[in-house]
Amino acid sequence: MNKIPKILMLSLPILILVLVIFLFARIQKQSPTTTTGSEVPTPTPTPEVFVPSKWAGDEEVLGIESNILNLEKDLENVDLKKLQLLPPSLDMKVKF
Amino acid sequence: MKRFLPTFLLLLLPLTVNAQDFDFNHAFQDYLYNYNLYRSSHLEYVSAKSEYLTYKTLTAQTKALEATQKMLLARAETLKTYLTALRMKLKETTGVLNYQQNMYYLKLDNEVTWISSHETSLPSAATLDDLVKISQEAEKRYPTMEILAYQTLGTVMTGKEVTLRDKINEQISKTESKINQIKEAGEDTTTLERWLIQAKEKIKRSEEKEKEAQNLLSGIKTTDKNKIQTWNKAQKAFEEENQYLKEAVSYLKEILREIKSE
Repeated sequence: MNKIPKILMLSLPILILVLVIFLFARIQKQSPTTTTGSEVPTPTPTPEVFVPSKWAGDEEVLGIESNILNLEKDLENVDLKKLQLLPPSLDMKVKF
Repeated sequence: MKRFLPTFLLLLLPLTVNAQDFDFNHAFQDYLYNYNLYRSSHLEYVSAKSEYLTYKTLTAQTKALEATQKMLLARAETLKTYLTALRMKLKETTGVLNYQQNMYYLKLDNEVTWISSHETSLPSAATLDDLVKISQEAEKRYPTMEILAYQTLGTVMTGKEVTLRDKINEQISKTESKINQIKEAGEDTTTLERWLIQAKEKIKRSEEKEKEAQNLLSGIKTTDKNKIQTWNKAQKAFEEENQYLKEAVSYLKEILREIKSE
């Protein structure tokens, strides 16, 4: 009768130690690891549902839209840097 | 006499064609060619001048006289072709008011005439002192030419922006009519009307920027040391003007998207 508690007394710390090691190993596995930027999930835009109005096919509306798209291109192409046409660098101070 | 008339007309034909072919690109190439000639002649002048100032011999003096004359002629030709290129740029730019275009033509032509007369006086110079005196006349005149160049460039930019703004205004008017039509059909157009007001506001801001640039350019004085700085400020204002126009167009795009969707 006396032997059983003795065995238990001896095996209990070992069992607790094993349990602690096992739990520690599990926690280590579950802990967040550093992730690179590419692994971070990025929000994806939900596609906008376009429900056309009765004006969507209107000729005038489409005409304005086409003109505006052309204007957008024209505005991009405006060359505001006329550096080539700035006054030339000339030596005006001729002295001897 | 009648037999010679067609031949005479045929001889004139290439001249007419050449005049028609002379556009900004041609004028610009002429200018670049002359500018390169000037650069090389300037190097020769610097070297001849240094030789003369070192040795003071008659041979060095003659060399310096020739090199200076060559450089001054190249300088004059560069200026002349530069102003001609500017004139062609102005001619090919739409949106410039007629009176403004004519005013700048007159001013540019006056300068070109002055340079031509300056050029004719160069070969008659017999001494280095004569050349220095003739060059000083050009030196005094140059700030006026510089101001004219910046103002002409400003007019070219204004012309381009005015053309675009007129086109955008036309689309704003058309969009406004369409919004009115939608309103008459019983739909709520409050948002569309508000957005249109904002697009118009951008147009107004672009006009303000244009005025700011013009004021800067018209305020340049011949005595100003840093004319290029004023030009840079004016150019920035033109860029901001362009940005406002882009924003107005972007608003119009949004308005149309709204009209087209339920």
